Amino acid sequence: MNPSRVSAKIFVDDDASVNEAALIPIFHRWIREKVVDGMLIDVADYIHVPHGPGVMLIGHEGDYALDMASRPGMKYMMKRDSSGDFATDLRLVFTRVFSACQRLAEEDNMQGISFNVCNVRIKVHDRLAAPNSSETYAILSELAGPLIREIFGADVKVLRGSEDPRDCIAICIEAASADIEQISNRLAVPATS
Amino acid sequence: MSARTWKNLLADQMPEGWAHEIDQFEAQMELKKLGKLEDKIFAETRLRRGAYGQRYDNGQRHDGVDTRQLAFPGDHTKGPETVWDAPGMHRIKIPYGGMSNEQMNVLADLADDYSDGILHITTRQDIQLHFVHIEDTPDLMRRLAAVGITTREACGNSVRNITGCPLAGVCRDEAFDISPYAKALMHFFLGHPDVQDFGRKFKPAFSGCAQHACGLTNMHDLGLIAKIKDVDGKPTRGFAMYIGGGLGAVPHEAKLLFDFVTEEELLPVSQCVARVYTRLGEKRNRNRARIKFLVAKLGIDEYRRLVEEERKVVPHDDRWTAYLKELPHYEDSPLKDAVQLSAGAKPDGFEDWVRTNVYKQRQSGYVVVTINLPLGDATSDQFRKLADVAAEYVGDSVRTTVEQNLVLRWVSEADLPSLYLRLKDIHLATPGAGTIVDITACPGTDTCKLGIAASRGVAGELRSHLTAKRDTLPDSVKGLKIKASGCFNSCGQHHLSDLGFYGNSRKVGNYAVPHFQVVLGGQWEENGGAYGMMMGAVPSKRIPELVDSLTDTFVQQREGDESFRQWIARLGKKEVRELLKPFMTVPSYGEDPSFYTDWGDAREFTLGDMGVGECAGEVVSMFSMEISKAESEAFDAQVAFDDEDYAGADALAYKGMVLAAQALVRTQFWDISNDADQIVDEFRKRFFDTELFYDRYAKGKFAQYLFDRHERDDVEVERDTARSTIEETNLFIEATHACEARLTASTAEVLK
Ligand code: SF4
Repeated sequence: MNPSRVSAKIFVDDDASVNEAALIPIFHRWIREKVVDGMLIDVADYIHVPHGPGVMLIGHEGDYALDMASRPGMKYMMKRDSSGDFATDLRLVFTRVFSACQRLAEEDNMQGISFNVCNVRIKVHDRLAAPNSSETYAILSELAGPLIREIFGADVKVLRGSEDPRDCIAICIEAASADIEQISNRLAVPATS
Repeated sequence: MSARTWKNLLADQMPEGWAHEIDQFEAQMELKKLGKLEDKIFAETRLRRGAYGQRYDNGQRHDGVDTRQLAFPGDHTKGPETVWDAPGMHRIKIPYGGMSNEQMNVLADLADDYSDGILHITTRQDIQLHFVHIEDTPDLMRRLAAVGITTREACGNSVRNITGCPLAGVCRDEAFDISPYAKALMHFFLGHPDVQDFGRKFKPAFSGCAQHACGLTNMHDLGLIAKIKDVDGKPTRGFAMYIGGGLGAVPHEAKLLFDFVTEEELLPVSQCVARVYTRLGEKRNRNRARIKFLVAKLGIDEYRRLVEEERKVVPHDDRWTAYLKELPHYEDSPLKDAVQLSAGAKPDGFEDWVRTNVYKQRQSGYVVVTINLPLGDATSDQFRKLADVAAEYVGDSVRTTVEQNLVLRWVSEADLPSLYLRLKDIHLATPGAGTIVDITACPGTDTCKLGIAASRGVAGELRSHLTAKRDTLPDSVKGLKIKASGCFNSCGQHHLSDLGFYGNSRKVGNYAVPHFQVVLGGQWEENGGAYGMMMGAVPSKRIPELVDSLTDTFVQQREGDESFRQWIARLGKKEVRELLKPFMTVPSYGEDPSFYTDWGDAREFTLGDMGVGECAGEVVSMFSMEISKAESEAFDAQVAFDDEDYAGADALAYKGMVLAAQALVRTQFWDISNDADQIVDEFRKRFFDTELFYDRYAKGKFAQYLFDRHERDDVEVERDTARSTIEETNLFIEATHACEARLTASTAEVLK
């Protein structure tokens, strides 16, 4: 299975800490200074949409966003240039989203925003390759399992998200404990197989 | 087993013609990538399929410090100075705004799978998806086609979405329901040869009455207002037909062409209006190419005479009246019984919401509920959940509106409290629909290549600013309309509002400062009956203060029931300008640098990001458009040949030859049919017998390829046969190009 669009979202620790308007200049600067990876294009402001995509940093291969859907969280969605291997794509998505979390947490104007890295949601936005079904979930969780355990530890819990066939298929990761530095270090080590 | 693709998966669900057109577009994309299609032609081709350019697609962006190249990976282009890989906007036509629940679900999926998760409702009832990659567009179109939506002619120099009152069929004041007529005209015009060679776009609109705004017929190229007239003692349905309205830099109010066109004559007369526009409209100077300029040049009486003449000669078409047989079966009926709203406790905020967002239908016990969308945006999740709500309460009865909202029709009154709570759950129960807080804005600098100032930015700011004090605003202010456009092209319809704004820029010292030109006193009612007056430019950052000041002064100076519009007219331009003056100043950069950035954009303001707009489409000859279809058939023939489908390759190549011949014939004989026999006969008579097609060396050889293949009986097609048909087709297409070029050159010579 080779879905073309995959995202990962990491929820903030404290919803009330989010200052969406402050993100606009930050994301513009990220484009200018190439703070995060990828070919970055523009900032899209959806602050006016309740529980929407928030402020987005639109890129060519993927978009970053402080996404406000359900609960605020940093999201990276890979939308082009899939490697053809789900685990490889997922590693890239994780690398980018965790790096964006770290960068954002370092920003002075984000009032000490922090992320609950034990709680990650993966979504596959490709209804052709990955319809929301038990079979797809079984395939994806098998493909992603080794990487998830490598990054979050062997005792990580992996659950299926919404089972509504109309929703994109989602995998929810719940780690007993995790630390962003540690995750980043693990991600930095290239996969052995 | 065939591959799992949308094309295979949906093959049985798409109308055959639509599926073929999408395949053809995909083939044209391949040809473009192979460098076999010119930029201009491909640009117009994709525009006519709804694939529009977006800001920065020329590969440059000002990042607040400097203009930098965006490092898109490839070097292909999808139009003049338009990078292939740059994200674009896809416009989806929603005729008269009507959507079924199934369609809403698919639209939501497309926003997830190809866009940024947002569905944007436009001021012409379309839906736009932004940040779409061109390579995703064929599948996007297929998924729409499978649920009966086409994006064909959503952009470009073509007949755009046909708009119509969202209250049609349930309105208390309409003459009759315009929906089936709008649908019939949409299907009739879609892909019609008479509407393929306009110099610019052509926007039709229907309204059920003359007094309200919903249809905005006064600002349309073709405006139709439903009317019932007594003809020979019988009440007869028909339309007042207006033409030549339009906003833009030079706004024109529409002129009455015919006071009453019967329903039988609606389609043929509309067709004749289009034929006159095609024939006489400006083609070279796009700034003068809208029908409004032709109407102004000829005068409405002459235009009428030309339409009447055309009506006598236009070939008969059974479709003109075929749809009328279906009218008695057209019904838009309620899902639930009409039950009155009971007394008793209601949820918090319910009364306020009912006051502004609920309209009583003429059918007793039913209401229309308006969903007030912020800046016309909804998430894919909201769309999906709204489709569920609609399925439960009203069935397939959701429509988009020109105020960038959605409406649910046929709501049983008794359901209002529970519906309110359901909508509140999905953040779609914001009160204030149609009031001063419900602000309309075009995409502006957010995504439009022509945007000068941030229309969405200012609209968003005004929305929050006014919502915060909505409860304290007097009724005379609450009902005002605010609309903003990012530039003079007026997509935000600012001319029709009480307070309208369009983006421009002023130089202050060495800096550019975003401004909005203030346009006051437009009329929303009577189908956008009168346009506002331009009063002067105010810095973008002072617009909220200006709105406060103007509305306060209006309340103080108002005489009796005077409307805002009447107050502006009474004051006159000179006095109004005095009211604006205190807001026209710009502090120096040192004093307040915030004036030098726009709303919602942290970068220092610049005009450097403006690109070449595609609103106008590319001026590409009819021949170029048609021959490109022939080329795509030839390309598909080669693909079939490579797949060892020789019979298929031969048939496709032959089709390519016939289409090329048709393209040439159409330069002389506009009404050429799609019948291959007729095309070949006409081609022979006009181009072969006259030797116009003759090549200096090959003489009539290439034409003979067409004749031979056309006359050939069914044979078992071998590999060699297919290969020679493909080769002959390519030579024939080349010869067709050459012939057209010779003829165009000799015409130009004569005209010198
Ligand atoms: S009014 Fe101008 S900025 Fe707005 S959408 Fe139209 S062309 Fe673009």
